Amino acid sequence: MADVLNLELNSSEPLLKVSGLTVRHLGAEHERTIFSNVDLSVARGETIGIVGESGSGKSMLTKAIMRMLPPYMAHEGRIELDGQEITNLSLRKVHQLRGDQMTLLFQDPFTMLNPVLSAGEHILEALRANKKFRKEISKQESKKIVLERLSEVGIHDAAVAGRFPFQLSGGMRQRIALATALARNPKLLIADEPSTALDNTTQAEILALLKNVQQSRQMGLILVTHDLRVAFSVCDRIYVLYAGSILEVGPSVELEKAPLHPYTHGLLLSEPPIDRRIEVLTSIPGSVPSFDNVLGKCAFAPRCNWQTQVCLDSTPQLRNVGERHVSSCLRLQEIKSELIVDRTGRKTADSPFVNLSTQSALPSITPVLRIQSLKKTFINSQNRKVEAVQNVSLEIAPGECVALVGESGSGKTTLGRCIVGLEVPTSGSIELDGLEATNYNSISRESRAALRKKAQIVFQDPYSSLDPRQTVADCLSEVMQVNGEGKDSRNSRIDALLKHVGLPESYRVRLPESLSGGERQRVAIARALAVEPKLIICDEAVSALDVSVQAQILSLLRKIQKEMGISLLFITHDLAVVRQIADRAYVMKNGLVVESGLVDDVLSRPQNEFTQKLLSSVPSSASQLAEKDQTLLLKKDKDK
Amino acid sequence: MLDFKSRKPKKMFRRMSALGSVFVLAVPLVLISLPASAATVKNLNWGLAYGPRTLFAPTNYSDVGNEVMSLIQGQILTTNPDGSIVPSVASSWKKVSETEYAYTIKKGIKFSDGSLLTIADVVYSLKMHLDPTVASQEAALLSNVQSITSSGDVMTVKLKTADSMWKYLPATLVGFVWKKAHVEANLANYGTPKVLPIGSGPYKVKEYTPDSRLILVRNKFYTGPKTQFDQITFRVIPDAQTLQLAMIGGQIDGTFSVPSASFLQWKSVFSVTPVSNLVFRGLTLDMTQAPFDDIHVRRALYYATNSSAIVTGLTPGLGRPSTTINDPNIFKGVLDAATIKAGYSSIATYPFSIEKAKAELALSSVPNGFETTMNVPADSATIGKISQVLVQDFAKIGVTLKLNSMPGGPRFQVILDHAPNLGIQIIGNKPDGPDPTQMAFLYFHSSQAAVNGNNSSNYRNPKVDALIEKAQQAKDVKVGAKLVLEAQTLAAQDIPIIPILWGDSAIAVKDSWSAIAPGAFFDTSLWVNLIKTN
Amino acid sequence: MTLTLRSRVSKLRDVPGSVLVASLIIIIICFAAVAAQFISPFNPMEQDLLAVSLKPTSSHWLGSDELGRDVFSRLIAGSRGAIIGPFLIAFSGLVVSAILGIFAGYRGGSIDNLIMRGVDFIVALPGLLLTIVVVSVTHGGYWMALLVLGVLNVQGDIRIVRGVSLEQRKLPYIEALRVVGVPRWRIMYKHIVPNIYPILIANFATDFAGALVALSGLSFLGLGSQPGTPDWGRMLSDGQPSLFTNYWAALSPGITIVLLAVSVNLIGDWVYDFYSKKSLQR
Repeated sequence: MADVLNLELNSSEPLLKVSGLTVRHLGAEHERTIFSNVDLSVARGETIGIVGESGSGKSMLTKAIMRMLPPYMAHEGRIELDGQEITNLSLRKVHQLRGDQMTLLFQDPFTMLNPVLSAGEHILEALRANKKFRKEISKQESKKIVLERLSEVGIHDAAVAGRFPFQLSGGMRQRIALATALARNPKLLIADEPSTALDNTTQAEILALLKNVQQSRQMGLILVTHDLRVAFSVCDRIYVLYAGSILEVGPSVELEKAPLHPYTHGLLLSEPPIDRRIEVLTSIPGSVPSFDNVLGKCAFAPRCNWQTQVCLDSTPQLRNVGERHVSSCLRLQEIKSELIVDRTGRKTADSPFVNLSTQSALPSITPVLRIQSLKKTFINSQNRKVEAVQNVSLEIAPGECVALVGESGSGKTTLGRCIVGLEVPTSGSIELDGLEATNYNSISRESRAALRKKAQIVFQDPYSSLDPRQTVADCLSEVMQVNGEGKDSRNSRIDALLKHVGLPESYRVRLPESLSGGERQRVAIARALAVEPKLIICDEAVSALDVSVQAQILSLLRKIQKEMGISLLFITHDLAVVRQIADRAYVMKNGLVVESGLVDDVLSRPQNEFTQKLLSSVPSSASQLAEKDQTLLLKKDKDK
Repeated sequence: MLDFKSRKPKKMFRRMSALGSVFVLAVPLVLISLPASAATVKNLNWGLAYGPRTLFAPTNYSDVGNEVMSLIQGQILTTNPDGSIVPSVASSWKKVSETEYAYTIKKGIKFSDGSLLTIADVVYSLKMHLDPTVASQEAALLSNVQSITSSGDVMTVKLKTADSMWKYLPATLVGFVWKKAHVEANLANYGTPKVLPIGSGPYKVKEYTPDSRLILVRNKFYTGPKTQFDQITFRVIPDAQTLQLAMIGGQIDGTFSVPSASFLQWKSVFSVTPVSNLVFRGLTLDMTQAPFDDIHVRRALYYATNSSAIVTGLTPGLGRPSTTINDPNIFKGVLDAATIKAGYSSIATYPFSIEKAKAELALSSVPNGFETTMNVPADSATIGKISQVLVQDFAKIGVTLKLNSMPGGPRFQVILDHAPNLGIQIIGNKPDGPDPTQMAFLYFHSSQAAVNGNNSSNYRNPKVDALIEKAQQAKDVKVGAKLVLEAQTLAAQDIPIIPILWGDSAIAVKDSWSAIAPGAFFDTSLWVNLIKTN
Repeated sequence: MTLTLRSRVSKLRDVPGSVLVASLIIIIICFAAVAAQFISPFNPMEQDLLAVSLKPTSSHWLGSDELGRDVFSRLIAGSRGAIIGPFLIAFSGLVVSAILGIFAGYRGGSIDNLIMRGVDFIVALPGLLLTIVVVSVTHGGYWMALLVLGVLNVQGDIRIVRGVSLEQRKLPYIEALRVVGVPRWRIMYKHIVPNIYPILIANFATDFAGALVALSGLSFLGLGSQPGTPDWGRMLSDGQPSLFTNYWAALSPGITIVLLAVSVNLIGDWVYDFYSKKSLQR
């Protein structure tokens, strides 16, 4: 086994070698395995990606390598860093290794930085951990070093060194965090979802920066991500982790072109393309199980289209399937050709939006939503005015799906909240299906109740969207009850609603905690449907979901739009999603609509510079990366 | 973190062993040095329940103040352990007439600063109590004084009327002799740590920290009767349990503050001698207020008061069931035992009997009982406990007694104010001197049945008033004492008070020592000589 | 509902030993409070002045106190007051803080301001000192002590409940309920209350323990309960003089106060941890 996985190219001794690593969550009653028997290696100067959906165990894997597992977690196996075994090294010695030898970059740079230390102090603090540095470097010199380090991460403005985390943008914070992590020249950098919390444009910059730094330092880099596109754009090799087991390992170019495991294959297909609309969105049914639930069989078997009895009989082992390419699929030889057919056979949908958009232009039909020169101004904690939305006008026709695209802080969410009355606009007007809906507080109870039946909202985070103490049936029943529906009709409609959103009747008595993210989002959609609205606002409704599940929900929303004629206002930052679902799109920046039109026009022939930039920052494959790299690095300096 | 923790116990162990070696070294040293030092300096460590607020009689009228000042000051006369009065600063004294007393002052007595004590100092020491600028707390005791004069070494005190009490006063705290020039120069702060008093007694103050401790050392100019201790250290220990622990631990050699409830227990551990204290405890019933205006009610409550059980249960060894306001011991110096006995046997008593109490109550205006409230001082454990016994026993005859816990000061103010409501009060008091008329006057005389008076029964009986007044003016103390006995007996017919107990105090010294039982007014005598260290 | 405590704690093994012991102590004390008349070997009020401050014997398990009353029987009789008083304070704190705290946190605006200024005012008061002064000046006794402590106690609860309600208010599920038209009061009592009740329970436990100690302290000082009442705090101070004869008279109420306070806190902590953990484990 070990020799199978020693896949690195150039060096005889890998920088990091992990073999047979298993991590268990200890508990008096329920001990469970997070992941088991993981082999992994990183060569000097190599970038590997660990790709997995939530629940795959990828974060725990990085923590285990860093020896940062919480006390109730136990690990076994072997971890070697630069020839030194660190599996059972004392915590004090490991502490010395961290920073000097290996370091970790987290998803959220804000939690990683100390709010009372300035950017420069963060770097100094990391440097000072070195005794030699403390003794020999003067204050003047250290200042110079800090500036050097900042410029390495693309910050050339010396003033940034004196700023505090809360004064910096997300991208800048991640840069500072990176500079801090790199301060003591570690040989290995582990980046855990380093770009996920960032806007698309910033995300691309940070990824390019990471790649750049890695190459110039010839550092080992482990990129942990749920996003295959991100992994392809940066990594040399990719490990696909699923439910605590590695299913496939291979060079990213090969993996992108010809994945040799149904799961990787499915993941790739679920990834909506940005350049065309797919008629039937591919998704993997179900959700990620836990390691113990798929013990003794192929972990992916329960969700696999090609599953046979063979898959259920034993735990498959990784086997060589090509040069430096391993897969655990038992039936690979039989289904290889089917995978290729499946991949190439996706149909591009016809453009369905032409007639709809012309309809919306007809004055005789009342639009479901009409927003006219809407403004919303907030007073922030420093008593300053923040104009979240400035002068936005927007219309949605019945049955139409309109996307509202923008980065964080562009005002798109505020706009959505104004429509359903969660915020009161400062000026302008909102009309819902011909009813005045500008200020929900100033209208009568009856008109408010009528408005509630016009527009509903589905939020981003499936975990906090449902009352954790309410069963699915109670949740739906309550909505109908407050809208004056009788008990009998409520009961039958709950079943209908569940069926509509693709949940079995048995889910009536389930509590949110026993539902997966996608299932919760289905319940949230069912709740919105319960009032039979004309318009559903989806505020980043699929952004927090795993790729395989995201496609399920997108399909569901498409179905609702088509079959029930409900309009959708789809608020998102993800242009690929926009392509798949929306008829028209509005692009927002700093509270203003900078471009709008048919999706095909906006995404294929963007007029506005900002839209162009958004499109160019979508992560792309390893092959496309080289050229893009240069342009981005040039742009970055201009932005700062 | 982890290794720091593991190092910690080691460090502690090292420190402990170091301490241990100090002990090992020190023990033989102490053993060697103890007998040597005991031979040269003899110390007395004395426990006080509270510290003297000042060391100046006009600003401190308290038992503890007296106990300390009597060792420093020197008195005109003083009390012997048997209670008899003997000359001290005065070489002799005589009663010239019913209203005139003459005191001859000793020659050559010196204050602790070496200066000579003159007759002017003695006259000043008495007169200053009447000086409004001094505002002495003892002014009332000298209110009957007409004039104080001196010629040669004789001081003459003339009284306005004949007064049986006067004879004793120069032996109380009024008789302390102060250095005139020193007091006059420092009147505002006299007797405080800022201005330590100068006296002609056997000791002088070395260190004085109110509420903490007080150290006395020998006054080298003192020429009076010998005292055995070279140094006396008073330690203030308010808590009874701590005091007991200090006794056990040997930090103190003795104390006057033996808790009344623990007397028997102290007695089993230490050398404890009871001291007649003349304290009266009992109930007063407001006779102007229903239902206490009904003698059947008062008698029923008397029957329901189990004074003998209270004494045995709550103040074992330090109290006796009482029958009236004065402890019979107060008459001892004046009357013979037979007369006293006869006087007390004529007092009507109603010994504890629930049946009789019920029968008595049945005759009253409230045959089925009633409810009333009694104020209880929160700071007196003994009174608190007595009250709870009363609650239980009164309940047996249908009288619901509710206890209202109050701070001691405000509680006593209700009695003095005679407002808002006297009802039933629980009292404890003792006379200032060996004069039985005082307590009788305070609790039975109608003039005290008013604001600022102690007669919380509002008892008014012209016959009793007349007897008390006659006793106060009697030329012969024996006659006066007999009149008081008569007044007590007469008052008892009306049951203005329900007597419970006469309380004693005690002097406790460590087991290897002993103490002679002193008289009731030992606190202004040379009490240290009562202690036998054997 | 599948979320009740009983269904979750199917096995006693899941419960830490300390919590089991604490529950046992509380059960015993509650039982003593309910069945005091039947289980106490003597009348707790009956004095026997001929048998004061006796050491423990086979009939007087904890000896007798200064008035000859059976200490064990008084301990049992005192358990009632030790539970009822703190319970009333903690329960009123729970109810008032749930109403005002959620109202302030969820409604915000001027109502929030009004409530919180009131709370600030109470915070500014010197708590125990004020209680001592009020109780001794009004001679209000036990009930006055309960009232004052209850009012003083509620401020902390309101603050905490307001804080967590504010947090809940911003969660999408509450906003979604607003959008589907669920009335405000229904959101508050049907959704916020069930979701913050671990906090309410934790508050209840700390309040209970705090009130027990405060009430005992007042009784110890001779305030609050009537002299002679079998109250643990009063027994503690009354038993002090007999430390050298029957130290159980003072020690036993002290021990029971500590045991009850610690037990309630332990259980409160555990219940809170239990639910917080559950909600973390999505």
